[in-house]
Amino acid sequence: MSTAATTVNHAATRDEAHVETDQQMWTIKGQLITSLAALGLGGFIGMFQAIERIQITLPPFGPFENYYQGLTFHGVLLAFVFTFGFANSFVSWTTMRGFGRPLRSNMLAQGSFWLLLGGTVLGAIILTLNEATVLFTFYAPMQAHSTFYLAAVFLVLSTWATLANIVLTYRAWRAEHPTEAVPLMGFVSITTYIMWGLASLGVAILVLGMLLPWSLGIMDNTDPQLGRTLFWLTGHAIVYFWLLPVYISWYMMIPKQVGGRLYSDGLTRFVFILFLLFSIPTGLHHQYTDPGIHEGMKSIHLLLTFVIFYPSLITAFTIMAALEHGGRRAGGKGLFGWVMALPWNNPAVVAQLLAMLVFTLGGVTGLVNASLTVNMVIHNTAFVPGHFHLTVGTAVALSVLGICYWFVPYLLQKPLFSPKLALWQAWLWAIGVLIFSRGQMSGGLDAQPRRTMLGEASYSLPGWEVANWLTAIGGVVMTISGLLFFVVMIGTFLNKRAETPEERGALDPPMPDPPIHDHRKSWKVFDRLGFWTLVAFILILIAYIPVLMLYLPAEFSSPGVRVW
Amino acid sequence: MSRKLTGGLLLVFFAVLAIGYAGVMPFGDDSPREVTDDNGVAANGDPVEVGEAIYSQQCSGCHTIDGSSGVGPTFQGLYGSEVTMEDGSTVIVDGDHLLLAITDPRATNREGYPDVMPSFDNLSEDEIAGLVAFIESLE
Ligand code: HEC
Ligand code: HEM
Ligand SMILES: [Cu+2]
Repeated sequence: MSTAATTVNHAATRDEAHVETDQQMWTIKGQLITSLAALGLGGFIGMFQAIERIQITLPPFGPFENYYQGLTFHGVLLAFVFTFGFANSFVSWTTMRGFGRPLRSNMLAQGSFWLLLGGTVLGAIILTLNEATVLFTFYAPMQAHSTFYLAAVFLVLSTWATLANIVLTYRAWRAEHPTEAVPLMGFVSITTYIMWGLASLGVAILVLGMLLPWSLGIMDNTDPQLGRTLFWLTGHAIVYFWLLPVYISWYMMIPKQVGGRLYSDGLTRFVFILFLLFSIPTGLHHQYTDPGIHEGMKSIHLLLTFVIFYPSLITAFTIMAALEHGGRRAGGKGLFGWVMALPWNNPAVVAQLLAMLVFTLGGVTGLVNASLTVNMVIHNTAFVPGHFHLTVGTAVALSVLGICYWFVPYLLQKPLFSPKLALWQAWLWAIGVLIFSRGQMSGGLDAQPRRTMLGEASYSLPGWEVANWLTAIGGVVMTISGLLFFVVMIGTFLNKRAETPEERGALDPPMPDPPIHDHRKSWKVFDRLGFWTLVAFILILIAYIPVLMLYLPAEFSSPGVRVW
Repeated sequence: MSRKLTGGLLLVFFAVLAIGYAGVMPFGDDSPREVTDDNGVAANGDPVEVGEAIYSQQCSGCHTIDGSSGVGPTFQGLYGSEVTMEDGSTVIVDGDHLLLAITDPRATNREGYPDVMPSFDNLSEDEIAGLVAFIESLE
């Protein structure tokens, strides 16, 4: 290993007392616990939705007054609380380790945690009271109680607090290392959050400028179409905010965990910059059927959507190369021999390998959704939840579970409880979701609507019955898998603390080795973060100003309705 | 977990994938769908049946027929009942009222309900007559 590589990678050398302070580590644990609690509760509600399709409705629908109240819980807890909490927790930690220093501000770290918890509790209360059954997309003119929008503000602010902290930490590092390359793990962490910072502006304007004042009665009417456009400005990029923390694990930790090495530092930076630039100007691909938006602009967003598919393709090949490298080092031979040589007895790895396999299918179905004309066939059908349980519901969620299998033992300094159970968890989830999504997607292709209490519907088409059964069976398998995860987590929590140096050493996090082509070969321009942020912002303007110009003046004419 | 078991599970995974996804959804009914007109309602003489078919496709999301609550009022027992409108007036629901409510819903607004009912004046005369007959049959 060259000396230059060693210096830039000083972050990987362990100096926990210095980097991981007590004032910050409890917030990292707190964010993770909140996130996992949301996953547990949200996932459990998912089971009711799945079995409702075969007419098993536990009265009243689960613990709820109606299907949509449960569905709103499911969406909000899983799409926002689970994902935000995990990103705040994990990416704060990779930032500390990446830059080899604590986060700059204790106040921001703690504030971020309290905002997440506060937003979650407020949201849960108002949803429980059935005053905000507007689904996780909260489209106007459905109007929730103002507390719901306030909760959304809290959740977004919690991510902004973490963003601010990461940027301050980077600047503090930069002040001390004016000429060095940004450490790769710091780089991927900060680009993830800058991307989200820009993306979340849409929903911030929507909630603060339109929905909150409207729900408080300060404004009588609203403009649903403008609202949807602002929502989706954030709404596509948010999927990358869910995904990139997991990519950080795939790029940084997985190569180490399989005994291989990442191929290229420069390529990794390139990929994250592409995500920063192109995640956001694609939002109209969720609005292909919306009136009032020019078809030409829809087509531009369509093309940009295919651009943003490209870095995920690079990721697929890069990670596969790292896996093959590890498998061959472990003695795997031949075209596929290296696959079986991977550490299939390490649940942290297996969960993420299976997540990657499932994600290929998620990518393919995503292309179906993105293609303007083909989208018309599946728009708002059950195909869509079929697709995103492969992506966020598995590529992200199952990877997070995999990460927890080393991160939680490390945080608690307690060995993982029953790795065997954890392995079964991963396999059951992967096989379960294949069945589940197969059901949803075939139902969708047979015109089955999403967001519908299908067990109660007075209509049905050929093919739906099989689809519903597959959805229900897959959903139950996923629920069993989820239960296993929590058994493993609670068991780990109750385990004895690691005492001896060997025991503790076994819990060390998988910190990355320098890539085969390290940072000395990377273009310096990749590190110009301010510049790339500016370019990303300009791209947003280019993609959205014409949309707004062709749309405005806004029509604030819709009063709020309560449809539940 | 032994290598054999891992291999077996990988096999199961790919089998589910192949069987489930490769045949692009072979479980559906491949026979040609029933020939329908624009609104997907099979041409059929009985007005109540025509109305019921349209009801299940286009109204059941908002109106129930079993008396339970929905976005709009239930159709059960609606026909012939006396209802209060937003402006405080009362109306006995008859065929004309139904016709107006379906084709020009802005003109009629029931008290206590949001004014969100879409207009269905794109339906043919037979279809609207069918709907009215269907609602009448639920008296
Ligand atoms: C999006 C929800 C929605 C759909 C779909 C819908 N309605 Fe309505 N409907 C309402 C609401 C809300 C009201 C009450 C407010 C009003 O009277 O305008 C209503 C009122 C009515 C009334 C008047 C009842 C009364 O006592 O005055 C009739 C009749 C009616 N709907 C028939 C239909 C028929 C027939 C269909 C299908 C072809 C249909 N509706 C589809 C929401 C809906
Ligand atoms: C036990 C596991 C799960 C089951 C059985 C399940 C089941 C379902 C079902 C059946 C739907 C469709 C409901 C409808 O369209 O009417 C749905 C929607 C959804 N699910 Fe899941 N799910 C599970 C886990 C997850 C996970 C892990 C995530 C994300 C991390 C997730 C995110 C979502 C979202 C965002 C929606 C859309 C809600 C909406 O349309 O408003 N689900 N889920
Ligand atoms: Cu999208």
